Amino acid sequence: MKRRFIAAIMALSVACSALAGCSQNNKGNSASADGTYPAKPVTIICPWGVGGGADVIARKVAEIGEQYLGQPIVVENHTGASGTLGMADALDADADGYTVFTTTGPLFSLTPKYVPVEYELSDFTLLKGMRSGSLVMLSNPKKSGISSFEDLKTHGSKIKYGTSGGPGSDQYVLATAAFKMMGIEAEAVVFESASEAINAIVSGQVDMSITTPPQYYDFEKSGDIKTIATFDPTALETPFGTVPSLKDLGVDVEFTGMDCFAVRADVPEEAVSALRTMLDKVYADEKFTSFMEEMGYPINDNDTEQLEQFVASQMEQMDQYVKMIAES
Amino acid sequence: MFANILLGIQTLASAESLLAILVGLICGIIIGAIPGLTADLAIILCLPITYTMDPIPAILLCLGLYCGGTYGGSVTAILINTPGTPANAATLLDGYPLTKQGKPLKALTMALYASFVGGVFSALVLLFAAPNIAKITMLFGPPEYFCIAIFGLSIIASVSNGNIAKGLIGAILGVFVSIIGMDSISGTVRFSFGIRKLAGGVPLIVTLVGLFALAELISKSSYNPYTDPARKQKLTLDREKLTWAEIKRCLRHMFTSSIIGTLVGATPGTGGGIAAFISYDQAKKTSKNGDNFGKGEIEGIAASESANNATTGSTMIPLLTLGIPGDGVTAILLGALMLQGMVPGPSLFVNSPDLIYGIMVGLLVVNVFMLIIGRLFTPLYANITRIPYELMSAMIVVYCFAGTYSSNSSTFHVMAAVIIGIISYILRKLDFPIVPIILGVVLGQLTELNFRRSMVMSDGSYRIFITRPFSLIFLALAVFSIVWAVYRSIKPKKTPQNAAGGTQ
Repeated sequence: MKRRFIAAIMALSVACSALAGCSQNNKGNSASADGTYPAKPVTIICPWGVGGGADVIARKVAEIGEQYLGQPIVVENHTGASGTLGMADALDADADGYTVFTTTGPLFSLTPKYVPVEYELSDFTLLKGMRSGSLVMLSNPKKSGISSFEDLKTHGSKIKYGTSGGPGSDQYVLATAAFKMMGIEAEAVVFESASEAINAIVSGQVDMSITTPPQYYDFEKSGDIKTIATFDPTALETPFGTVPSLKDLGVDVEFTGMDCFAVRADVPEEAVSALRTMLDKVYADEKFTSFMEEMGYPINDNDTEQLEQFVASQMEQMDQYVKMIAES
Repeated sequence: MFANILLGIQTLASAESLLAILVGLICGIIIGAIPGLTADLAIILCLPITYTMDPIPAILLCLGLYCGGTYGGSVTAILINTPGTPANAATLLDGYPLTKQGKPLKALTMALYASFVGGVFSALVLLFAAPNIAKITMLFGPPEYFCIAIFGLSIIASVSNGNIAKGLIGAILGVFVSIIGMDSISGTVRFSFGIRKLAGGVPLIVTLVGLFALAELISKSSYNPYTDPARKQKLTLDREKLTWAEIKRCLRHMFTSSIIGTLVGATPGTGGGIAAFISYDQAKKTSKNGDNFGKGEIEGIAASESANNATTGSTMIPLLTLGIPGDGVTAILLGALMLQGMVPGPSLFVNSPDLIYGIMVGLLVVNVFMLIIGRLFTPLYANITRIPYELMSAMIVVYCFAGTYSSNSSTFHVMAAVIIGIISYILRKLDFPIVPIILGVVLGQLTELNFRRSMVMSDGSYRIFITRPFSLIFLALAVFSIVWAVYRSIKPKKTPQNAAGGTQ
């Protein structure tokens, strides 16, 4: 009896170890000798947590892309230090094309100004865009009395606004720059996540919040939230009407969020083109497009050249904003 | 309301749903029972399987993993003095002493019943009062969170084994570990000593594995099977079962702890560990057997296990009603819901009541199944103590390393766990109580970040903590908790026999 029980426990332990091992990838052994790519599973490193926008999209791409690539695609979340840890791991990975990662514009244009990093744009090839994100300013018209840009300018007292990132995050830097240009005294209450920042505005903890649509739409429908302005260069259409851009309102800041897939710049051309083909097929797949539409994520299908131009121009803008914030 | 519940039952009544619950629970209990592997990880591992499933079975699978994992963690806390998940840290305080007394069966059965009571209580609250509770917890902002965290920290005194100075030092160490890495408010990297990986902080699971499991293994390294008296005299396991009188004695604690657990769980950003500690402390202070807590008191297990399982239903309240994840598991569940095309929030109640009520009724079913499966498994678990320690220790090491590695796919974190294990071993040798350290780790950041947020909100005025009703209540509770602890520690000295037996 006793021996059988021990044997059972041992068997169980082997089974569980195998389960735990599933999440590992087989790094180390590079592409097969005959050079056909892909010869083994591909890993996508996501520098953000499970359940976030980039993660959800990456997992959908992995799910649909497996059949086009002919190899399993595994998403790993390497989180921490504003996404720079995942970036560092992506740089450390072998340049064999079996490690893809997701990144954002600000990870190149903004974060390195605040966090010491070892990578730069030229270390990577940006493969293809994922989604574009508008940054918007929200208010709670019932609790703060701000229901338009005019109200904001004449508010008088100091504005407290919620963000989901501190200095070094796009929300914080853009909002600080915008309030400074408007000559409005404002201070950020930095929360852990966008949902906390949205909750804080609905319950009246803060006057305004900076976030990305469409997560708060339920509250705009109930009248607890009003979208005041967008950081997009042009006006933004939402189900609740047109939101003016800050630029049109005479505040010279602009920002559009961009997530994209990337690999190390020294990955062999064969692997890069195989990955590009896979992504193109996924983006043309009705399963993917309808998923993105359902989730309310605008697809960004920019290619390498467009993405690199985008990041380069964002770098210039960010330089300017960061310099302006520092002059106080 | 009842039409909706019926709708939920209909949605639920399929073989696939029930199978998903069963598989989820069994996997959850096993994974939760392995130190280093948590419910979070169980769900992440099973997430790919859910992609191809219908929404209801997919979410039920995750819920089974969640509840099973939270209960399963108590098994190792009781048997090998290592909490399977952070939520079970308070369970080992009395669970392990009971095992050492040869009564693991009693402790395990109590943990199961308490988990069931807590789980069912909060599932019922979720089903009948979710929107109302959400309205209250929505009013909680940084000042309230700060005061809850302070209340949590005030418990250090009662989990310090009588040595408050060492308990405080331990808690400060814990707080220190929790603030390593990038500070999310200022973006500054703190105490990383130039080590890149440390900029991401020390994950809770790494601390837990090092602090408890690895330190326990190191301290057992002097164990010699040939001189073990228990081995020589053909160990007979005490088959002492839980008596009805004991269950009755614990009922009151299970009930109050379920309320505490449900309230704490409904507050985003807190979690099962805090709920368990607050309940444990509360039970210790109100019980007639308060002095026996920490020495193998069944009431302690009842309090902490009902509290941590009572968070499972209530963390779903902010998740489903507002789309706010309250802890790591619900953050992943949010992702799972999104992958199924469901965006949690007020409109989900209006647009798909079948899904919402299917999930909520499903949670009740999960808890009933958990009781049944637990009843079958408990006698088996008790046998784990019969496994020769030299075999057991090898398995624990493998699991700990696999768990810490897979949580972040990084060997650095395995090394970090080993280093924390060595430090924890030294602290044990110096008679430091370990539980205050984990309390500091769990509450450190919550306290600090919310204090700073509150200060921004109030322009630096401390009045914000007493002018808001809920934060005032939590602050008063914290003060009361400390005053009570001081009173209890002074009082016995006045009685003559204690003074004689004391060190003075």
